[in-house]
Amino acid sequence: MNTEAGESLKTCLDGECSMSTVAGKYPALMNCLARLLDSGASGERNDCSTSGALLVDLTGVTDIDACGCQLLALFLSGLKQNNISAQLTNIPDTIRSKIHFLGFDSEFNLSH
Amino acid sequence: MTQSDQNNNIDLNQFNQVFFEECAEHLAEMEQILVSLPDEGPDEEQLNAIFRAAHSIKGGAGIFGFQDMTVVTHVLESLLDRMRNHEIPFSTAMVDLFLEAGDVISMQLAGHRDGAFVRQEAIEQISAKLQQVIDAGSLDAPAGSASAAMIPVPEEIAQSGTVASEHSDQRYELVFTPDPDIFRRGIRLENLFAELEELGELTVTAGLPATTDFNSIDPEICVCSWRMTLVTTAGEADIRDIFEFVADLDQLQLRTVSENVREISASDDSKAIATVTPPENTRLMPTGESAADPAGAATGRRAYDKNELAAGAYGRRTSEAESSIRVGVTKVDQLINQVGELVITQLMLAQTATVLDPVLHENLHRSLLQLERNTRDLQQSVMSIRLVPISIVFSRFPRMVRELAAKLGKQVELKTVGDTTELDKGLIEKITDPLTHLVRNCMDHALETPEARIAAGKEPCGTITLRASQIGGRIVIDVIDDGAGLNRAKILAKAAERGIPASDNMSDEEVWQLIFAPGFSTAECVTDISGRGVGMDVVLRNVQSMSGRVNISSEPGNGTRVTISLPLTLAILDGLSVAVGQEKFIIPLNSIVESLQPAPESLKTVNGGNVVHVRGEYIPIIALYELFNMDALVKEPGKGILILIDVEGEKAALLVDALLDEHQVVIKSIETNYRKVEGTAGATILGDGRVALILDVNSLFRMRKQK
Repeated sequence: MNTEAGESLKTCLDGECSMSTVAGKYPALMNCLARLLDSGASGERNDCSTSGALLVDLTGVTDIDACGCQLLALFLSGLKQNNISAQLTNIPDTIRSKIHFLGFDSEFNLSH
Repeated sequence: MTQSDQNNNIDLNQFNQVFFEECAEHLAEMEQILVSLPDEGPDEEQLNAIFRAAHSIKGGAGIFGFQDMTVVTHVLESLLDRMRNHEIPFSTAMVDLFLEAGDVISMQLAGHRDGAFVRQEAIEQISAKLQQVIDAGSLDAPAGSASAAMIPVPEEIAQSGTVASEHSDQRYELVFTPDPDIFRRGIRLENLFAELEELGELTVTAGLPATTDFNSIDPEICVCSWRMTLVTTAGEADIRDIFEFVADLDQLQLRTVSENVREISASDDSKAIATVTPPENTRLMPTGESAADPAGAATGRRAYDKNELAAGAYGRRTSEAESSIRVGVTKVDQLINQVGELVITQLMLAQTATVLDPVLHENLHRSLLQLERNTRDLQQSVMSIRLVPISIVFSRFPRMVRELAAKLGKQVELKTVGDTTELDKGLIEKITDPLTHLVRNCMDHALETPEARIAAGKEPCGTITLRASQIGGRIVIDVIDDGAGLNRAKILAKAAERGIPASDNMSDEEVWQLIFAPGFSTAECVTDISGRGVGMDVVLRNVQSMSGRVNISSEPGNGTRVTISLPLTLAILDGLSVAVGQEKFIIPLNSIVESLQPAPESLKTVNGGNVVHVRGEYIPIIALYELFNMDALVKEPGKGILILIDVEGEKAALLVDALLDEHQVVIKSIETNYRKVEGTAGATILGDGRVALILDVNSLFRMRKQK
């Protein structure tokens, strides 16, 4: 996972996002949140459409399960609590289907 | 057979035994509920309890490989499930049907457990009967009638004619809050949801807790919950089955919103899921709670598990029961024996310490006293493990009474009091037959027909009361009826006819005791229920074999009370140790009336035997040294001590050298360890390490008569 600073902030998730990998992905997400807070990203950027909203790029995600969805949802929730807007982007169809099937559409602000 | 095979067989047998015991318990529970059902039928809790028993038997039989036992239980479970869903109405005839099904399952159980003969045609017959009810939609209705007619339908919907069949869709709302460890347990929710989706149209919405600090979460711990709607023709039980190994009761909330679906179905063939929204303020409750909600439809068995804690629920599992373990009786007996050995060792230490100066060895004496207290406490605790509630025996009678009453054309109500009274497991097993005989006697002879009762100014329905209580160190069981009472004149006449010594001067109590004479019966006709006159003497013998007593009180027109008094346990005994020569004996305290040093003038010889005159009675003297053919210090009754004993009115005076001490002794089987010694009921080990024989007072009487 890497986080890029640009016109809008972006972080990427790669590989499998499941029970067997969440423990490894969690520190990176926690680190991402801490960096965003340190950089003063909170408080002003409430709308994802505005520049500076965090984009969570799922292009490289090969699989996701309920545990992975939960981690992602908690991450987005953590961002929201700190007034940081975020949006999932580049979601592969198979991953989108799984997110829908597992009922995380509304948590991820996705329409199906 | 390899060692591994042997091990596998041993393990399997252990598990089978657990299944057999649990299956028997479920059958007993089912029967208990069935025979106690009111005329209007079972309430929801009772129906759930019966269902759960059938389901548990079926599940266990499947797991343990007794597939034949799943046949009847499956169709029984299906019928009960339809009844729970109000698709098939209850009728009183169903009780007999279910009891018959229980009998067939019991027969199958006995077949596997004891190798008993199993009648295949009985299995087929009951399965067919149960299936017929399912197909017909009721026990009385002809096959093929629409069971949908039994479904309670709101009037407006019924009028609109939109409820076409029993298979119309139901809309369920589920809230699933999994165990936090569900991810770690490797459970894949995708598979769970896929199974639900197979039942119908499913929508799932995940929800997070309102506030969570992302920096302090454990990503492998589940904090989400899922709200689902499912539109399906499947029943609630099918849905709960999917969650069976995933969710505990409180983790799954489920309710139906069937009316909404039906209304929409009436106007639109498309599924209602997109348009039906439950009221905002609707609180989803565990189905166990929904029992209070008449709109909450049927409840599932897991819901029932929770509601078992509710007052009046059958088959409840208290927290105590849930934390119990099943232990073999042999293990408990082994523990009791070991504690018995510990008591003996403690007695030996105490005896050894008696020669030590109490001042110089004050600490040792204090410690020994503490050891004695602890040992006694431990012994009592261990003994209590063998105690089981008498409800185990009482629970067999409701059905027996019900069936006998129908057979005899009598109306009988059975009441049980003190079901929780505990007594030794060994006694429980032995008391069953005597009690059964007494209850059958009540049914057959004591209680009158409804017509006779009305003519006597009584209620047409007679009452039999089984009452158990603990009084002092004994358990007292009363069998009470409100029938005609014993007929004194008839008993005396029958005694004269049978050559049993009796006279008109006898007190009522003495007359009542005559019915315990072998072959005594005043019944004018012999029935297959009782009246062969081979019962009451057997009752008395069985009770006496448990060191028990039987008393009768009766009042003409008002009924009879038979009272059985039993010791709490057969493993320990309060006794008096006495010396005869170099030997010591234990005499059970409950048979001792008094001890005395006889005055020379009170000693007589009658028919070559010595007797002692005590308060107007001549009591035969039994010299223990003679009976056991041993040397004694005292051979003259006038120089020794006489101990007066009384068993069921028969008295004797035992001649001993000296009285020693009062003990609570641990009974050891002398027969198992040596051989049967006539006149003894076992042996015990005294504090000095010596073995003392425990006298069996009844057999002393017999030995004296033989001499």
